[in-house]
Amino acid sequence: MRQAPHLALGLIGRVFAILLLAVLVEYGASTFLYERASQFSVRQDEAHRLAEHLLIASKLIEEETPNHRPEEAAELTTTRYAIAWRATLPKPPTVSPSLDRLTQQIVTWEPDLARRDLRVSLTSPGRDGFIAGALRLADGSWITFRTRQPVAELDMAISRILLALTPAVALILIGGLLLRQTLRPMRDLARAADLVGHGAVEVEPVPERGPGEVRDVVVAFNAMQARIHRLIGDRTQALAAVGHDFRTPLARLRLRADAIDDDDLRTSIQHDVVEMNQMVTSLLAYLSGEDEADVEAPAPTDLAVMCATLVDDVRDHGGKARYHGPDHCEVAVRRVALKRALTNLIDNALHYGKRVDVRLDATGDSVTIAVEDDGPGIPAAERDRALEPFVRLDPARGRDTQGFGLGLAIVQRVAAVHGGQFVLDDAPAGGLSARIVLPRS
Amino acid sequence: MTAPNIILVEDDPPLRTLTARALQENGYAVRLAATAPEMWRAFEQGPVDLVLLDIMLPGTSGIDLCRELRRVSDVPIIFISAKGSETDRVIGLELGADDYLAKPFGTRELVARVRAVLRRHAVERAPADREKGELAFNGWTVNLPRRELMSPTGAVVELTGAEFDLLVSLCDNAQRVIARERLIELSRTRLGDSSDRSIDVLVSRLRRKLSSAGNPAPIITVRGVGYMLNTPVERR
Repeated sequence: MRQAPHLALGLIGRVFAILLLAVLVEYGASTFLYERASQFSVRQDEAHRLAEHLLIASKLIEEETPNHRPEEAAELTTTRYAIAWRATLPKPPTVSPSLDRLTQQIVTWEPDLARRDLRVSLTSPGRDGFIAGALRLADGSWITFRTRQPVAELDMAISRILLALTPAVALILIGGLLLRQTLRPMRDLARAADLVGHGAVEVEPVPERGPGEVRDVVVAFNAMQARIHRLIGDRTQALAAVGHDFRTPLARLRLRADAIDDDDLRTSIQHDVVEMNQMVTSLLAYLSGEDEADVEAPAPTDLAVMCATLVDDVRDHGGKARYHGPDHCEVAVRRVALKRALTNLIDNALHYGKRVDVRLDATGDSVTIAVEDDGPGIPAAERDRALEPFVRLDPARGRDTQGFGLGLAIVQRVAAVHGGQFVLDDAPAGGLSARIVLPRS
Repeated sequence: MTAPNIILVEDDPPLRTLTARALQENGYAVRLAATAPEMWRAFEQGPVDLVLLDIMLPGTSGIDLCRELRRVSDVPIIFISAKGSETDRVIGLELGADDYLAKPFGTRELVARVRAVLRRHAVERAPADREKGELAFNGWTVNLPRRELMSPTGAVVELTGAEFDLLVSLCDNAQRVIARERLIELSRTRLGDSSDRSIDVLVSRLRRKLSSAGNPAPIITVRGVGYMLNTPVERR
């Protein structure tokens, strides 16, 4: 599962980034060039208009007597420029960068203004900038002027770039989504590949879609998946059939043994048959356990009674066993599978220890069944290995262990089918405590 | 007394011979069959007291054969299976088989099962009533074909074969005292290893399983006589 997010981020992310970069560079470059050119002409235009207006204003106002000058100035005020006449020069605002370039442009356009001590500055610099200024008349009085609309040249440039980039961003988003869609088969494939061999019974082919290359990979993968499942299925079936057919000759042997007069020989052959049969049973349980547990639907079952019955059975056969727990505890479980798991644990406990304690603890959301013995236990380091199939931990004891070393693997599987856990731990008495924890839902 | 007649249906020739010999040595008359048609032929040759049926047969499966056999006859059937799985057992019993024998089996086990089924069949000569339907008391349900006990809340309550038979015996004689000797006799028809003590043990285990939320089980001890299921039983 760790691969999947990596793929989604990696491939899509990279293509996304490349797309983003390309579009950004393209738009950035063109916008920059365009902006420079247009900005220049816009400014030029603005400067010329302002120059002309100022020239006309200064001439008209000069012609008037000082009394009429304010009225004249008011008349000259347009929607674009506010014009006012002052006897003295008002103090310019503190923070008002002068616009030398604009002054230059104005003067170049109307050289007459050069001798009028033209001052142009940007008021309230920031978001809404206004061009304001003053020029001196022949008699020493001043005309002040001011644009009535904010110019905000720099802001304009940035917002224009942003505006120009909006379609680019939209394109990138659309492109990214399309790409994601295109790569979805890859993600499905990763998911399916992750499931192979994890015990999924049904082989579900990955839908064959997406671009050609991806589809080829999907087709190849599906074929491989089918092949693997067929191999697993064939092997499981073959082994199950062998185990199964094994029982008929075993039955013959068992009946033939009954005809043997020598008591010792007969008992030992009977013992061999029992042992072989147990091996077949555990093999069949392991190989078919999964299917069977899947087929068996969970049904409400009294687990306390089940545990008590298994304990009673041990006692009836002369073993030492005790059940600790409530008289009743109803949980929906796969009964046959769970009973087999508990039987395995109890058989194990009696094999390695002298007595077995079965404890059932029920809480609101889980039920724990612990099977404890007083045997040697399993060292913590070997517990993981003990759960693997076909592993037997006691080579020193030789071949007195029955079965194929499948007992705990079967328990592990049964616990997993129930969405529960199987834990090996130290028992209070010093032996092994094997616990099945089942969720209670 | 004539020897009981048994039809043995088994496809493996050596095993067929060995099983037949084991049965004959214990006083049974055996007719052999390897396939379903052979079984039908053997079936028509004379009286039949019991059929021993291997579940895995070439052609017709033992399960189908069992179903067909049940349609025409009430003869006791014992299933033999190499699978030994719980599902097979339940299917077999639901189809009306009387018992179930897992391969490999020894002579003693084989003869004990055959004897028990024959005796049970002779004792309970009420075939219409037998092995079908349910018994219900105090909310508990006894499913006869599946040999299952369900609690009032619908959970399966595990019973051993002996406990189940004891419960059925108590139900059959509900609200009447059954003498301990009679219960021992009845439980012997099953596997034949019950002692006096084990009846008391079985009763106490059954009581524990039938108790629910502070209500004691409805089985009372009648001192010096026996036991009684102290509640009416409904048959459905």
